[in-house]
This record gives sequence, structure tokens and C-alpha cells, in this order.
Amino acid sequence: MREFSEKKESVTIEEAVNIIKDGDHIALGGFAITRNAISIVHEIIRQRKRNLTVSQSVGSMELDLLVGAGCVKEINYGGGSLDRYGQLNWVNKSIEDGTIKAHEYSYLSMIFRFLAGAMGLSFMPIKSLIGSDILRRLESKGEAKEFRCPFSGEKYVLVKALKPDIAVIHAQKADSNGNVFLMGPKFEVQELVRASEKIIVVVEEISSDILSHESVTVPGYLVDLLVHQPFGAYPTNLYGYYYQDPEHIKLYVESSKDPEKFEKYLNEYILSSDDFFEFLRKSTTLKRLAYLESLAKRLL
Amino acid sequence: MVKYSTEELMVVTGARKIKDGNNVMVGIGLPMASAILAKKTHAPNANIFLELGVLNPSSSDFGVGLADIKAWQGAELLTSALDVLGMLLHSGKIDIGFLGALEVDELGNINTTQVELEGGKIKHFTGSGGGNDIASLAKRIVVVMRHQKRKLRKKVSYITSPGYIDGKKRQEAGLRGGDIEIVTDMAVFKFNVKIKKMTISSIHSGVNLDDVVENTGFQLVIPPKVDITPEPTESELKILRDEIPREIYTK
Repeated sequence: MREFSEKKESVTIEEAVNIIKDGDHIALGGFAITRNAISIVHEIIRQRKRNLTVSQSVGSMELDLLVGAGCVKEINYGGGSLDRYGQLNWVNKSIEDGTIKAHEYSYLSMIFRFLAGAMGLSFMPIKSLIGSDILRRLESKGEAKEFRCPFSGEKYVLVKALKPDIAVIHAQKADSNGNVFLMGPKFEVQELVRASEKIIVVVEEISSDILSHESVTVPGYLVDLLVHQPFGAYPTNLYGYYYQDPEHIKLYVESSKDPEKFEKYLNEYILSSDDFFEFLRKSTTLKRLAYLESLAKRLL
Repeated sequence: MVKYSTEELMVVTGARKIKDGNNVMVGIGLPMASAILAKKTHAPNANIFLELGVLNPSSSDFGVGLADIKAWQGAELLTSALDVLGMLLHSGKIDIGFLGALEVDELGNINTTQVELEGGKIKHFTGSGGGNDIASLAKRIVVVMRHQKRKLRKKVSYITSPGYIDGKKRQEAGLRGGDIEIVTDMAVFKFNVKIKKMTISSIHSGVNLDDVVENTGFQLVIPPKVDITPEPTESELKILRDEIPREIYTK
């Protein structure tokens, strides 16, 4: 944790990802096709990180990319998809084949796990999951337990706290103190970052003015590494900034259905790109980005 | 008498399950059209919540899913998922939740996680998202789905979201609610918990009872007199057609 009010220099994507070690536990703040930290995920893939544990409340393109690229050994998630563009093909395939260890939860039980971690609790009671096969499987692995409230006698399920090593989120804006302004619905980002030991935040813009305190979602004292990467969530959407690019997401979905095509996708778009701007150059045009931007502004 | 499509009937049937002042949890698709229609007709004070932290969007195009920024347009409140799923749903303040399903069984248990292919191989799908939470914790549940034999099964291959589980009372199991209805393109179903079975509540006008039975993968309970699903009124249809884009409920 940083000192209060310390000026925060931004770092490069490469420098940010350098702090992630093989075997680390990372938490992702995206959801399906929105607000994914794609720029960081690409760099994790380029740096060939291995054996990561990834926790994400609702699985997204970020998660599918990392699993497909072989960076992940274990996931905690509450289900997920790429909305109507398709399924998380790599996540699903890896669960079917048993090539990753997957602990499946519901959305709220994942949020409660982050909340427990954020508050320094080791577990959290919840009234979801009861009677489901989700619970049956978690219980068989010692990941959850049924429990009665010692005061009221009510039935609960206990789920374990999540304490990730590093949280990775993409947001719209930060100020020079590292205070982060997250526009739109917050999902579970506030719980997830507070549960994590270290926080990497990628933003579209860094403002030289200090953000008004009402706008701060993640205070600068929590942020360890701040990265500036315009369009860093592309091809997923970012509220107020740009709409998702359906063409590229569809290309991804098609590529992720077939290992050979996926290998090609990885090489062409990620591994052979020096940085995220090169990925953007290969994937889209300025004209199209301007269009996606204007669409998002109209939706505000 | 006015003519209407099956989708329009399903939207109207869903809308009528919502009471004025209800807190409603929906995803995108047909149930969203139901919720909007309810607000525009008999339930102007209903609140529509999206699980990731959105209240009362006023979109005319919900795009491809909950994560599409089109679905949040004009919202009255953009908040957190903990606020909506935790402090509303978990605390018992969501009156009605709408869910979809890959499969539903005769006890109302829902599978959105996997299907068993021939030869026993498993194909994994979306999983729970907020589905399990809504099914466990909303006071009333409406499942909206296509009526196919392989989707309405005696037993689901995986319980993602609980209905009546193995037939015991939901409260005894530790779950809330206990009022579950299924709306398909053929009929509406409720549950008779005493005999642990899905029961026909009504069939849609023009649908043959034999077809409903034939397209269901288990034995339905059929009441002595089978009602016809109440038809949309002219004013409901007018509002639906004039004010709610078809793409919301037909995509």
C-alpha cells in the first residue's frame, strides 16, 4: 500500500506485468465483453506467465484468452460467456478435458468471497448455492460447507475468502495521485481490489487535475501500478469511451473454437505485436475506433 | 379478437407476473420486454434491476447481453453488483426474478451449466452467473424457455439453480421463495409440491394438449380442466407494438 497523496508515476504495461510471477493468484475486473483489461492480458501472454490461479466473478474474454494461451492452472469463477457472441470456448473446453482445475460458483458467492477477503475475514456465509450441484462439487473438494447460524439456526453455506496476489482492472480515468474514476456500474471491482495484495490499474486517460472526491472509486493509496493505455479494453467495451467491436470479438470466438486457428490468432495479434498499439493497428482502423467511440458517447 | 404472436403472448404473460411496486431482476431478452411492458401498463412503480448494478435502464436496444453498454442506457442508477445481488436480493428485497434455462426438470430445477452429449461426454456452457442466486433468493421465480422435449427433462444433468430440489419445501432446505412458474412457447406451468411435479397451469390458445405432453420429457400433471392462457388485451398489444422494439424479445 502506498502513502497517502503520493504522486503516482505511470508505468508501462510491460513493467506492470513484470510484477506478476508464475504461480501467482490474480483477480480480473472485467465482465463478459465489458471493461476487460485486454492490454495487460496480452502482455501476460507475451511474457509467457504460467500456472496462474485466476479469480473472476463472471468470466470474460480476459479469462478465456489466458486459459487458451496456457497461462492458467486453476480458476475460481461464477460462470461466464461472451454474451450473444459466444461461449468462453477455452474455459469450457478446459473444464471438459480437466486441463485446468475449475471451481465454479455463482456471481454473488464470488462477490462474497472477495468481500470476505477485503474485510480480512476467512470465510463468508451465504444463502445461495443450497441444493445445487455447484455446492455438491464444492463440498466434495472442501471448498464450501453447509452451516447453521448458532444464533438463529438458519441454514447457510460458508464460502472461503479470496486473497489474490494481484488485482488487474481497466478503468476510464485516473488522476496524478492514482485515484481511479470507474464510470458505469461498478460490478464487484470495489471488493475485488480491496481483497488483493497489489493492484494494477490501466486507464484510458490520466488527468492532471485531481479528481473530485465524489468521483473516486478506487483511491490512489490502494493502487500500486498505474498504466496509461488508450483503447486498452478493446475489443471489449468501455462505458462512456467506446463500444465493443463485434467484428473482432466474432473473429476471436471463431478462432477459439479450433486450436490451430487459435494458435494463429495468438501469433498474429498478440505474440508478434510489440505492444498494444501494434495490436490495435492490426485489428482495427482509426476510423472504426472513432466510430466505436462516438457510439459509446451517444449511449451515455 | 386481436391476433398476436407467441412471443407477444409470452411477453404479456411474463409482464402480468409483475405487480406494481415489485423489485424485478431480469436479464436481457424476452423477460426484459415483459418488465418494460409491466412498467408501461399495470406496474409503473416496478423497479427493474440488472445483476451487475443497473436500475431501470430506458434502452430501446439492449444489444447482446448484460455486459453491452447499450443495456445500461438511461439507467436511473448505476451501482455495484454487491448492492443489487447482496443488499437487495440476498437480503430478501427482490420480489420476482426471471431466468432462462438450458434444461428444467419436473421439480423446477434449472441447468445452465452443461449438457450431456450422446456417449456421456459433457459439453460445458455458461454456468450460473447470477442465476443460482436469483433462483435461491427471489420471492418468486419465472423461467422463460423454449418448449422442447430435450429441454424439459425428468431430471436435469446438473442443478445450477434450485427449484424444489428433491421435492422438499424450499424453506426447509434453507432457500427463500417457493412460487415458481415456467412460461414456454406452448404453455404455462406451476408446481405441485405435494406430489413433486410440474403441473399445467394453462396452455396457449391454438396449442394442442397432446403436443404439450408429447414435447415434454416427463409425465406432466394435467388438471381436469385445462385453462387457456389469458390472451393479451388490445391495449397491452398496442403498447408492446408501439413502444417496445421487437428485437428486444425476438432476438
